[in-house]
Amino acid sequence: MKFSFITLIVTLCFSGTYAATAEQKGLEIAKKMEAANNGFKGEESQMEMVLIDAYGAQTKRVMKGLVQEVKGDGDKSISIFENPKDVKGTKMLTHSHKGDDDDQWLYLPTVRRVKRISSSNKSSSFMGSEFSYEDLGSQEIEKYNYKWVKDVKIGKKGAKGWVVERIPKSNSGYTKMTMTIAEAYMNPIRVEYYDRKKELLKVAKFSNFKKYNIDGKKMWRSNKIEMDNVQTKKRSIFEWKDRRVGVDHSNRTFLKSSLKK
Amino acid sequence: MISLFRSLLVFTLLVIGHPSALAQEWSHKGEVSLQLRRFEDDDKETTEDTGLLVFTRVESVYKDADHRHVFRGFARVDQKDKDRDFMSFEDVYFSRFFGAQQEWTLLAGYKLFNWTATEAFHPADVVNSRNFDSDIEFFEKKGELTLEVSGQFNWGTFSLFMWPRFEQPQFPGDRSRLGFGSDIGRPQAVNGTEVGETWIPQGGLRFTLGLDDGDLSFHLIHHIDRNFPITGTSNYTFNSLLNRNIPDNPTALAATPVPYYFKKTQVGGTYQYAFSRLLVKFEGAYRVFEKDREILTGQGLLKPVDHGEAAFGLEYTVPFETTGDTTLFFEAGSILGTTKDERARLGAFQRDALFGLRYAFNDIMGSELFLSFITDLERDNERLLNISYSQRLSDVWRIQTGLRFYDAPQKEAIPQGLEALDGANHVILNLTRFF
Repeated sequence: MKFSFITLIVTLCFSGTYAATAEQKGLEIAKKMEAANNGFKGEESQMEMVLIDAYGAQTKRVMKGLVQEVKGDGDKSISIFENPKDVKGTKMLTHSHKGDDDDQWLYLPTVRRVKRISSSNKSSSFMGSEFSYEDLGSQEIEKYNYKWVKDVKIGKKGAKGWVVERIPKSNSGYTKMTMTIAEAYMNPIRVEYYDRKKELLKVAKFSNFKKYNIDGKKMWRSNKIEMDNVQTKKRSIFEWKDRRVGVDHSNRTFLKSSLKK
Repeated sequence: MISLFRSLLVFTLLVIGHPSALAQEWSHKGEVSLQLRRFEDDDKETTEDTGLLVFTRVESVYKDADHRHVFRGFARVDQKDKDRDFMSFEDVYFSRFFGAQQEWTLLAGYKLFNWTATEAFHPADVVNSRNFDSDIEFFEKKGELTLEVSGQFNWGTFSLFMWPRFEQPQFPGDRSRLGFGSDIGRPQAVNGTEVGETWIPQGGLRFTLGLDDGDLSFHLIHHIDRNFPITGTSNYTFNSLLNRNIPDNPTALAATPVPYYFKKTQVGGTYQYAFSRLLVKFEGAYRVFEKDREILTGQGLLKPVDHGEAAFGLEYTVPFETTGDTTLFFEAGSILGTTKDERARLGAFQRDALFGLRYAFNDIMGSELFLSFITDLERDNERLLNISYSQRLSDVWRIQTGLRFYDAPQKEAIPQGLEALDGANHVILNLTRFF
């Protein structure tokens, strides 16, 4: 009995230390990623998304995206839909927040209406694709817990990388995301998404990395994400075209009242 | 008044000036739609149970660093009911940005306003004239001739408006199943004691505020009302022998009663608040009318009635659905500060509640199912059920089908509120090509 008690104490102590270390290391990697990607000021791009159903039929979505970096809070972004034609001119404005629900508005051009919408249901599909709003939205580190899983070697040259689990603190369609992060890019190159039943739902592969130089700071951005839904066999490919990073947008661009302009 | 407005318009257009040579951007879009609506047979030769029309809308927008000019309008041509033929400018305006950060905008032209926060009851959204031969919860709007100065700041916006012209609302003809069974005379504005003027000075101001998780707006307007007409005649004389007012032209009053719109001052506002998955909406207004003229109606002499109107709404997004989005709606709206009879005369939604559901399938075709049920909380047996389904057929084609069911049996000699639409149950089928 005495032996069992000591064994239990030792096991608990070591497992606790190990877990804390894994979580700290995971958070440390997430913070490094954030630091490496901060300072981009703003972005402007044309975006294309190809939706592929289980039978291989394809359809394309086109939109324009503007992002503004906000120091000390989440980023602000506007998506302007251009294709399909029935939603042309529809705009979605998001003010992300680090510790609170995002603010989100939709501009409906036919009725000239700006409508506040609930940003809570992030798990729903973005324009019928395999991407959810959560996948494409601002990824503030404060909204997740992190856990380092292992170090990995990436590619034929064996570049350094890590596998890190990201667990949403609240309000998510996922129970966890397992990210493979490349140190060279300080960005994920693969993310596995686990649904609320803790089963693998989707796998995202990030590619076409390009280096951007913003006021002397170099940062990488993936310009292509292939998202495979392993449960439905549907795919979506999201590509940034003509992406400009380091754009200094006016604050006014991201005001609710600007949506009508 | 006309000369003053012309001078202002010329001045404004001169100030707005010509487009810049730098970074010009044009965008265009439009739609052509074949729309079929088939009503339940009412066994009347005088009405048209089938509508088949072509609807066209075009929009062209010019933008550069200092300007934004917009043209948008639509036209409708019905093969069966010529009274439904209708063309309207929604937005035809020129605008220019001013200020260090271009925070000020000067705008002149026709403009469509949308000040609503709710889905069915719209106390605050009153600027534009309506086309009453459309869905009662969201009537089509006509552009309003406008001069506007607005400022856009980090805390919100502030706008001043001048509306020099009374744009006449559009009414269904005598053959329309959404009409009153007779032709309606040309709508008239009542400005003090004057009737029938078109150029009438009107104006207002509005500001909006962003408050963390909420959006607040407030407006004060002084204009010719567009939503609460008194239908009858302003041409009558008192007959001392009969001891009552007699219309100068009784035949015209019976055949083509005229809707009269009175000048009013309205204060109102909206508030939207997001609380997790719940969106809370409020919209309210109080209206004070000028009452210098009385209108002779089937119910005797009537003057407009000052009143308040409020609407409250909840919108809840059902969480954690990966296949589609379900949104549930609840709204209640009421006219306040009047008697029950006055409320009934003022409108169809004088004290009503809406229950709604939208299911967005979130599929490639953008399929969506929408159900709404409006029931009167004050008057018995007044209900409106609406079911619609729409989806894309391709990137440029969309189809919509739906059913509208009106149940509001007439209780007294003159139908009131939704009673005028009792039995106008119909199905719709719209096929639209976007470009």
